[in-house]
Amino acid sequence: MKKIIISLAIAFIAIANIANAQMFTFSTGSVSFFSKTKMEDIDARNSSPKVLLQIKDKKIAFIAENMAFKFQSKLMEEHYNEKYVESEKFPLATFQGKINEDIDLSKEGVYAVTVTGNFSLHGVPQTRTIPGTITVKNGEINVKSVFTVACGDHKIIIPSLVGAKISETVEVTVDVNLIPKK
Amino acid sequence: MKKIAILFIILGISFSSFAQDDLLNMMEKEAPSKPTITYATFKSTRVINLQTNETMKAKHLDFRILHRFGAADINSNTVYGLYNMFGLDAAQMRLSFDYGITDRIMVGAGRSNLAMYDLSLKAKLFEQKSKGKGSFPLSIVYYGDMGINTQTWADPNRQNFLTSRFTFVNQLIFTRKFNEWVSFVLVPTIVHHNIVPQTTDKNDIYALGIGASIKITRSTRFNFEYIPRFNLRNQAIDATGKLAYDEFAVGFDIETGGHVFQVHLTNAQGLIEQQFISENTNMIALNTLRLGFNLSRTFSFEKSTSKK
Repeated sequence: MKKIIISLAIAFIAIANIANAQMFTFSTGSVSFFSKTKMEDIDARNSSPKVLLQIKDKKIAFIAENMAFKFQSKLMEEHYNEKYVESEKFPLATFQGKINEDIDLSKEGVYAVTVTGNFSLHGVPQTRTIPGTITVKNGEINVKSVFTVACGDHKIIIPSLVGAKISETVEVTVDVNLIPKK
Repeated sequence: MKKIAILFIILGISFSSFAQDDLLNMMEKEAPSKPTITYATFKSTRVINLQTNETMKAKHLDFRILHRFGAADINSNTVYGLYNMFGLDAAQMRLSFDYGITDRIMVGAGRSNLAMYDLSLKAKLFEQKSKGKGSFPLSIVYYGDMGINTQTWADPNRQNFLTSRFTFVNQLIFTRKFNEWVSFVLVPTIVHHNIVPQTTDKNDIYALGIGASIKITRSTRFNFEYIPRFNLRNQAIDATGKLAYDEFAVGFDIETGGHVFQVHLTNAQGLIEQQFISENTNMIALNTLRLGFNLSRTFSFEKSTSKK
């Protein structure tokens, strides 16, 4: 009896591991954003996002810590965290969605996709459909996407005093390489 | 029976990890967020006159212009202060540059009235960190400043030493940001003058700076500070018999992108610790409060983050 239990337990752990092998996780790349106005260009880069891509269910999720976005000006960085995304209250920007297209990510190829899911920033979730390109090659996966975020959609208010310097919509660029999760 | 129960428990555990489909929760569990360094305890390197825990970040330069008006002299003879523009004619001034060598070490140089140059060093020893393991409740910062008085010698006939021009400040700055709205600072201070006007005067003055900052809106704060001294009380600081008084100030921070504009009322006209802590001859009263401005402009010498 005892042996059966142990072997069953091992079998289940093994299945769980196989399921995990269907997961891809962040290795290199970044999530960055860009705000352009006549007076000032602002760009910030987060080189340590967390990413999970589930092959079987075609699900993908991102977590970007707001405090990990690096700006050229540290003053801007402080303002970003303190005044705009309020990182102490809302430390994370997240996205979780499902790929709409009928594709098989276990096969090599370049896939143009759209992902529908929940994008949350500043504690305000929005359902978004975001376009992107997924490249599967040599057992690694690259995910690229460019999309815009309207500050107003996430209750991020830009005071009129700095309105000339900060754009109401920012362009977010995702370019990450994923490797199989151990 | 017991064994079957255990079997079900194991099955349950296996299935729960197998059926885990909320990827966000999964990532959060695997790598919980690290403690974060508390930011924006104060909006500037000074509350008003008193130092805060804030320093310039690496490769950032702070150019500061500090102004203290003279006595306002508000009465009907001066057209209620308009005659001398509330003391503008007798204003004192300071220009300074502070540069962040690293995120935790800042060096500075400045020139204030009267003929006072100074060099400073500010170093963050401990930083307040929030949340979980590795959190720390306070920031502790060292501030040191050497003043070099370049006025002509008071008595050119005596033997004068170069070192007689020097004054020193050593401070330990303890700050805590209690929440988004309220920050507090305590600054034990020693001010040392290498030379004092009279033999009975003390070379060392001990004081405790107390300050607070309260956020009013996203870009404005109300600040307050008071620097009681432990010695040199009720004792003349020069031959004319003038007494020194504790420094006091209230004011507002107004932030506009790259600038911090501070406007305040203070009883001290001096602009560095050697002056406003130990040589302030204005008592705290309505008619001795002076208008003051601090203007701070930050420049970044950091290379762009975008790879081109």
